[in-house]
Amino acid sequence: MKNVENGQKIGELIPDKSYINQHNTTLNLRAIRKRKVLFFISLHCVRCIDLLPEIKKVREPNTEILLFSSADQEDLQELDHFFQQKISIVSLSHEQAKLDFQVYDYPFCIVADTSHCIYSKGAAYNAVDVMELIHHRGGSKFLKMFGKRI
Amino acid sequence: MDKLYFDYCASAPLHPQVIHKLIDSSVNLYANASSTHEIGFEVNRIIEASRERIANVLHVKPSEVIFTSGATESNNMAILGVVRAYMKRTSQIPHLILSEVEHSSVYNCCKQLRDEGVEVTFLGVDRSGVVNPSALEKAIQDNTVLVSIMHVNNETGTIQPVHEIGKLLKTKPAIQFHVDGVQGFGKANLDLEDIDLYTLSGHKMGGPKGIGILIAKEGVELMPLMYGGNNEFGHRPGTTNVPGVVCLTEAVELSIAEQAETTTYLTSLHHFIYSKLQSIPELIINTPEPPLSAPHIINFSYHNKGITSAIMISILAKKNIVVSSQSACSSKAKESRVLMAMTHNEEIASSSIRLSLHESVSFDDAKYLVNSITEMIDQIKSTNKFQLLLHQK
Repeated sequence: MKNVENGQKIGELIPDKSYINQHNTTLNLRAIRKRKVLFFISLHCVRCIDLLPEIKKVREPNTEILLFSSADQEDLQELDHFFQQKISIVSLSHEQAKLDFQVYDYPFCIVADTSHCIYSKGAAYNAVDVMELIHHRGGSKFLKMFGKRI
Repeated sequence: MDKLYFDYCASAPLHPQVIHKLIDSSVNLYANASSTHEIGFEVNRIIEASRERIANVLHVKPSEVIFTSGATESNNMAILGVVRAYMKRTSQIPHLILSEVEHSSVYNCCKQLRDEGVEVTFLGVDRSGVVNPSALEKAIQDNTVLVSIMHVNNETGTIQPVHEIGKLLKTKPAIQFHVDGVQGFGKANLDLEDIDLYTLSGHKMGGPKGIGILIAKEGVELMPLMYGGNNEFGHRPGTTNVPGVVCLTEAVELSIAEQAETTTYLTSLHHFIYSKLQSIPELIINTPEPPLSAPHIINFSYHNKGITSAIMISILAKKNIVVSSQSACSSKAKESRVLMAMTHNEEIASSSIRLSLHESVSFDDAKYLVNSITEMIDQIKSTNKFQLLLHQK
């Protein structure tokens, strides 16, 4: 088994792709002019479930939060209600997450700046971890600890 | 409120009598047991005395006791060891039989062998998770060299008919019978007479992590997994984990000495929890009723669309209850392979919770557990399930 880094490389641009969110609205990632915080979770992963209430605590100016999950429509609506319609939630299979973002392991967070350049990424388990990723330019300590998948 | 731990199948705390053995042996028995000087030789004698004590408890010969780093290594050593020895001796493709519900260290090892060209039969199980000995007999081929069936299933507690299978295989001397005894030891009686290879794990019985046993009966031919020194009769090189061996020996003896009292208590605790959970109509109890199951494991599913094991684990954690689903080794998988094999139902297999009990769990703990599960089900029915993640007890 190859030792594979989780998530796209620091310095790469987030993909120029469109996704349909929980409101059936099409979102193009490169059309979002704010800083973007992308979360990748699975509803079958305990650490991911524990992260959900922590994401609610993240309030950063000029920042768009997007949650990618393999949840079905019913779960997307429940998540939308939970997040009080404040974030975009996209249904994305694990296979598609691998193809689009090279994300293999969950939970995972990718942070891109207003120019769509990824400047931070890593596993995040609580709001403190998320804030560290958001405010740490040039790669997070988590990259070293959790960025590699063995 | 302290957290209530119900994941003893994943790992159990050190037995109080083992703790001081661990400290004492770690501090004082630091020499390499393979060294020829006096201090090394003294340590070597302690290892061999430990081997003999374990052999006495299990009614095997000391030369049949191989110390390993744990059950995963023991299982791999048994399976790969038999297969490779056969292939070296005959240059033929062997055939293995195991059940669909074996631990991942057995299942994935056999899957790998299948990918390498070995013939492998994965036997189905019934709704209770039990292997049918007649189906196993029908699956035997001329080139069958190994059957591997666990004694007690680590996810559901189902007890397999290993005695019956052992008697059946005794009439077929070309076939070795391996039993993963990790969850059964000290909980369900087992006579090793008709078993050729037997796996035990230290940290599941009050011993430390990083030590296990493979019993390999005289006459069983095994190729080693690793190469190096001549430790463990040439089966397993590497400097002996002396504190591990000393503590494991203590844990093995204590498990047997305390088995009657422990199982009596666990049986009554199990019955209490089992009967309470059975009365909750929304739950599906995956563990068969005793005596088909061991007294320390209960597995149930909450059959409601959208509720995953992870969600229930998180909700119960908010109530200070620590549980799991599947085995620790499989904990990142979406659905339980074991429950899929039993039920062929994705929803049941992805919404299971495993409760595993220990003699330190009190009836008050059990009542709190049952009340919390009941409360969780009521809350899930009436609230957005994600809102429950915000509630702290």
